[in-house]
This record gives sequence, C-alpha cells and structure tokens, in this order.
Amino acid sequence: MNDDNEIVIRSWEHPTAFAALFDRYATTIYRYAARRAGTTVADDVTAETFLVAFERRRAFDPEVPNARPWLFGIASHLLSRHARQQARQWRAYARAPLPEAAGEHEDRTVARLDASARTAELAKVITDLDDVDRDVLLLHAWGDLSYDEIATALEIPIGTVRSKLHRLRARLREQLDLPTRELLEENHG
Amino acid sequence: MDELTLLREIGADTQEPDDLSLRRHRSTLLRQAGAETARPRRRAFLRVGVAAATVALLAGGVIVGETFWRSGESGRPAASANAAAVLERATKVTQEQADPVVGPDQYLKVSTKSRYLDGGDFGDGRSFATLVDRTSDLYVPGDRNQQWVLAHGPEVVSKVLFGEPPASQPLDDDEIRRAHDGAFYGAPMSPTAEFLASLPRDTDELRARVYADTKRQGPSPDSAALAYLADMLRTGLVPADLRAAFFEVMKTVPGVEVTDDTAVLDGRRGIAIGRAEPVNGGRKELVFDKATGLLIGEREVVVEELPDGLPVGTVAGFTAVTTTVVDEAP
Repeated sequence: MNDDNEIVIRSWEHPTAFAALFDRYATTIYRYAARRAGTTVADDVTAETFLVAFERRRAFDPEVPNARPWLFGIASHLLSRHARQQARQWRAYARAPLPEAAGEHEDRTVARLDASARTAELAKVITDLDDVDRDVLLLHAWGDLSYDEIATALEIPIGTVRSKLHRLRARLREQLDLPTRELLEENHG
Repeated sequence: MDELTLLREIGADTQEPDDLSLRRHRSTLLRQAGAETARPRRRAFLRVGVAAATVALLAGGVIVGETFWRSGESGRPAASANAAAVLERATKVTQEQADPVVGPDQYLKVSTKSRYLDGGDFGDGRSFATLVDRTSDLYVPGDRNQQWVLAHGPEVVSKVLFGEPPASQPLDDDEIRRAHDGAFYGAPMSPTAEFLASLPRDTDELRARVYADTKRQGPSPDSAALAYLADMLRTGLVPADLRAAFFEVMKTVPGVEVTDDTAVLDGRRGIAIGRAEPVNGGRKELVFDKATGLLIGEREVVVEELPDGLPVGTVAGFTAVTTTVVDEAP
C-alpha cells in the first residue's frame, strides 16, 4: 500500500495517478463537509477540494507521507465561503432531536438525550466563533485530526492549536454549565 | 459526560455520499488530469517498431515537414553562437516594452493551442499513434471586478498517424468556466497582480525567492524553479519588467540552454530557453518572441531514448500561445 505522498509524487509526471488520492479521501471529506454545511455544499466542496489539490499538487511536500491534513486544509478554506449554510446547518441541529440508533445501548441513549437538550447551546457558541477557532474545534471533534494534523491543515503552530482547543473547550463547558472538575478528571484519567 | 462527547453526537448520522456523485466528481478530476497541456502522453509500452514507423512518417513530411518536428540528430538543438546575444537584446527590449493596454470593457485573451503525440499498443501486435489537439482561451477582464472566463475546447484527434485508436479515448467536452479573480478551481488564479507586484526585480533577490518558494518541489530544485517561472509566464499576466527579470534568472539555472530561432506549433519563431530533465528523458523548452519577450509557445522534446520509447529528437508536446486584447468574451 503506497503512502499518500507516493501517489502525489507519481502524479507530477503522470497526472491521472492523482485519482488514487480521491479514492482514498473523497468520502471522508464529503462527510465532514456535509456535517458542517449540508449535503449540497458538501457535494461542491468535495469536488473542488480535489480539483484544487490537483492544481497545487506540485506544492505538496514530498517528505510528508500523509495527505489528509492537506486535503482537510483545502476543504476548510472552501467551507469558509459557505458561512450561511453552516449557520443554517447549526439551526437545523438545534431544532431537531437527535435520532435514535437501532439497537442503541443505554449509555449512548444517555449521551443522545443530553446532547439534544444542549445542542442549541452548543450551536450558539460555535456559530459565534471565528473561522479558525471553529475549524480547530471541529477538525478535532468531527474530523478526528490530531493536533499536529490540525496545525498542518490550518497552517498554524501546534502550540496555538493546543491553546485554542483548551480555551474553546473551557468556553463550551461554561456555556453548558458543566463542572470544570470533570475536565480535570478527564485529563488525568 | 463532557463537552466533546456531546459535540460528537451532533451530526453523527451524516450520510455517506451517493455513489453516482462520487463517480461524477472522479470523472471530472480525471478529465482535468488527462487534459494537462504541453505534457507528453507517450505510453510506456510504445514499442520501438511503432516509434520507428512514426518517425518515418514524420520524416516523410506527413505532418508538417521534418524540420518542424525533428530538432536535430541528438535531440539537442544546435546552440547558436548568437543565442546568448539575442536573448540579451530581447531582455533589453522586454524591459522597455509597454504591455498591451486593456480597457475596462475589454479583455486580455491568452489563447493556448496545444498538440501532442499520443500512442500505444494493445499487446497483441496492434498499435496506434495519433496527434491530439486542444485549444484553451483565457479571458482576463480589464475591469478587475468583472469575471474571468476560461473556455476549454474539446480534445480532438487531429490526425491518426497509423493504427486504430481505441474508441474509449476520453475526449473532453467543450467547457466554459467563469469566476472572479480566475478562481476557476476554488482558488484565485495565481499569480495575482498583488503577488506579481511583490516579486523582486533584482536578479539575485528574485532567484533566491524563486528557489525558496519551490523548495522540495518537483523532480529537482532546478526543474522546479524553471517550472515555477514557466507557470507564471504561461498565464500571459507577467508585466514586462518582471518578464525581463525572469529571463535573467532563467539564464542562471544550471542546465539551461538558450537557442535562437526555434519554431512553435503555429510556425512562429522565437528564442528558446530549454532544460533537459534527466528524470523523464525529456527536454522542456519555453519559446519567447524576440520583439516583445512574450511566451509564444512551449515544446517537449525527447532527448534520451528510453526502452520502448520515442526516438531521440521527437517532439512529443507542442503549444502556441497568442496574447491579444479583445472586446468580448464568450
């Protein structure tokens, strides 16, 4: 199995080889974009992310084996143009109760009901954030990117990612009226 | 129950993309990849027999005549003693060149016609070779608030040299894209006017900047530096004083050779700045108009015969670029 950078390097001389990167990441990018701004935007953003990445493929650092942060970085930039759809998506989340999953276990039910009640509060904080803060938070929570990957994607220092996440989580907890003690427990646990 | 867990519940049921959309996007990407201009599309399995037959046809003047397509026995153009002097003169002329004036209701039209040799075999003794043409027109508005227009013509097999090309050749449809700031694919077309204004005109500073900007790109630093400059020149948007500075930098790139009097696809002739890249056995040439210093075309010439490849001297890719001021865009 080739590393991502091998695919990109190959595409420098053999452009159509780039499609292998699409095969690896299109679904992931789509799901993230849809979760942030709905399926119509996701469709556009997914297509454009790979076209832009293809155009910029020669600027990809050949030493880096992982292209995921690079692609998420492009997608984040494209998503920032869809502020209204992002806000609309959050309003939809705030209104609708979260669906029950088939065969849902009890602790997941608890999580779901809790979230339903508090989504509106989360929505309020998150839609008020500036683009970078929102990207840091959601690339972490929804994109499952590591701090290092977020730093690469958004082209900010890893220390900044860490401190932003720390501050944002504290702010969310404040909004949700969650005790700060839990945060400490979680960090030590 | 912490805030992250709650956040992760939201939108957790977001659906997978549907197959049809994904396939459509993948096709669009492949069309873009397959349609890169000025790239040789010789297939790795083009047999020597096929290549020899191709050359015989070319030598026989089936296309435009041997001198047009062949560039010398060794694939290296005859370096003229005058070449360096001619480039000096062209550089000076370029510095004094007034760029075309584009009124607010007009467009700068950068038209690129490309032709490349395509071919392959089916593994059962049958093979084919074709010439594929494509024209793309870029319209840059004089009024920056207007949209740019990019019109891709279809890829057309302009000549079947021999054999039967497979029916499933992906040929592009006509396509017109419009976007502000040339952001046809999501990002503003580089180079922007601001970016060009920010580049140093001093040769040493510019050179350092070019190599810094292209660090770790491409098959080699020198190849990447040249490609960086070529990418910008190809757009037709580089102002005259910066074009002259680009020439000065290009002359200093190791492996670069300057040749007087090279022809481009439509027969116009100019000065060629070329460099062989050992990695792919090809020599890339940028051809400039002696009077204006504008890029008028590019060529890709085979300089190293790879096994089963095209013979040395074959021109595998060819473009002609024309820059004019027009009153209308499609």
